Amino acid sequence: MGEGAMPVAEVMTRKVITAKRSTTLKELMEIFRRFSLRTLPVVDRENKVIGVVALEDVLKIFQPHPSDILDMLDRVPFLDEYDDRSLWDVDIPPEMGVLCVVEDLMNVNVVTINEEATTIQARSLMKLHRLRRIPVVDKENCLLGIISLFDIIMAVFKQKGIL
Amino acid sequence: MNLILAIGILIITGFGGGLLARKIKFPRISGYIIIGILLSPSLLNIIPSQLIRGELSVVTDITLGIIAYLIGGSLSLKRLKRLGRSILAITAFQSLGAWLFVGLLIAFLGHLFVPLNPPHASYSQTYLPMAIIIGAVSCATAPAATLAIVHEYRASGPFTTTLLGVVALDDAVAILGTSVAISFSRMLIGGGSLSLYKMLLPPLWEIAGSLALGVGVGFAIIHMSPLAKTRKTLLALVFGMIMLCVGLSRTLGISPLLANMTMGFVIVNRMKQSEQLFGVIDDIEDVIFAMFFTLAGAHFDLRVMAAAGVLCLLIILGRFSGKFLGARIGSSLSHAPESVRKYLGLGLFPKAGVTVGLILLVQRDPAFSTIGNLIISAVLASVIINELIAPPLTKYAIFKAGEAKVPLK
Repeated sequence: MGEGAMPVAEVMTRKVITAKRSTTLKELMEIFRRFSLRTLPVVDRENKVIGVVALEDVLKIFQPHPSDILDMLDRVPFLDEYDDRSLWDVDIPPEMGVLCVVEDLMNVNVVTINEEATTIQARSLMKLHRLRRIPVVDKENCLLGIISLFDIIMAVFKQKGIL
Repeated sequence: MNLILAIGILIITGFGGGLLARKIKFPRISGYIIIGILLSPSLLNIIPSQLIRGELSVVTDITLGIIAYLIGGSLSLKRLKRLGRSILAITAFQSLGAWLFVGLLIAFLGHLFVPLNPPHASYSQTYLPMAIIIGAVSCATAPAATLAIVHEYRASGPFTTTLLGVVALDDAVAILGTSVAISFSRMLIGGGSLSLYKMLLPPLWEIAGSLALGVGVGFAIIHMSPLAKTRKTLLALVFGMIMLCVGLSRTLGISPLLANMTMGFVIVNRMKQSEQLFGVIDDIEDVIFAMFFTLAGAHFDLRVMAAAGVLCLLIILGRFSGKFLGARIGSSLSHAPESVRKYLGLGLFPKAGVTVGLILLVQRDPAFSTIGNLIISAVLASVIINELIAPPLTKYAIFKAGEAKVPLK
């Protein structure tokens, strides 16, 4: 372990707010608002991490085209950028709040970190994937906690005796 | 003029052209190409011909490696399976249609209207390879112009979904087709009186070798990527591997396009967290593409424009008919909705980036020295004309299909 590095398990937040596949859009937005969060891990019945849902993913329902095609186009080079006009113009019926569930929105390619990893490794992963929070899992991919940039900074400050 | 000064001019003037193009709602690429044409030896003569055809051609190799890698990375099998029968069938038929119609038009009418008088070269060493290659390049459709129109008119529905699906896949078909076309055309040019077996062996080796190299480098990058702990080091690894793949392909005499596309394909399908391996290219692509497309425009040669003009018309005519009929056949066979059957073909005419890239690769290949100049000028002219004709047709198709949500401007 490098100098100053701490095990992720010591620094992470153990009480994690999660979503299920069946969590509705309305419930999800209420969680985001209530806890001022922008991403949530999605877990199955055995508490295994099956995805992650971010506030940005909610924008998918404003998109009238299938996400598979948009993801493919996103990789194709030379596309010019367009503004999110649809965000203000689109008509969303109120029933969408209960009809749309997390499974429709979540990203299944989730970046996780093992409990035995260090805060240095967690920080590298955050920088590489441009993330602020990473779910911490055991060998069976079960959710143990979540580590954020906030947790790491607090731990460093504590270590230095500032806090 | 030295090489670095030329690169600086290409990037800065291209950047300006891109900004201007976006101001008048044209794709940035059109701006780069038009600026390049202005800089060409035929017009303002700012970038000297010997640099364009000499040292600057390394820019072509680098950029095409990146383009092929990114397009390979868009081909996730999971996504492809979910696209549906219609999109796959229409993509196949409209690409083949464009290839066939453009190829046949050039093969049958080319020698009547397009003068080519190289010494000791037969029809099968000039017009036939030209027909095969331009036909293959004509498969490509530009997603940029299509997506811009879809955004502008907030179009949605089965027609728009099919249209976007086809344009997303089409460039991959064009890369595959052009790699095969280049390989077989080289065989035709150099073939002479060789036996069929000896003639077919080099193209087969080229295709199999490219696939094998792409798979090898793809797996190497998958295993090495955990060593890159930051975005910058990951970019160094990815960029280095693309260059390695291009360089090795050149050394082995195989297709750098096919090898790089295979590398991207292997990574996206064999690696769980592959997003960043493609995302890191975003950090450098603007500068590379500005340089590349401005350089592409600079290849424009006014001296061959009389012959290239006729060729350009054959390309536009063949491509329009091939894409239209191919889309009709593909949509009928896959029982697509009526709006798709009737109008999709009209939405598939935009072309730009990949078309220009592929044709530049042909131009820099010494095997095609006799036809290279003519081909690039004709294709560049067809791209510019297409930028004017194709978007209104795509708009018309979206409106006729009843999927536009805002009135026509």
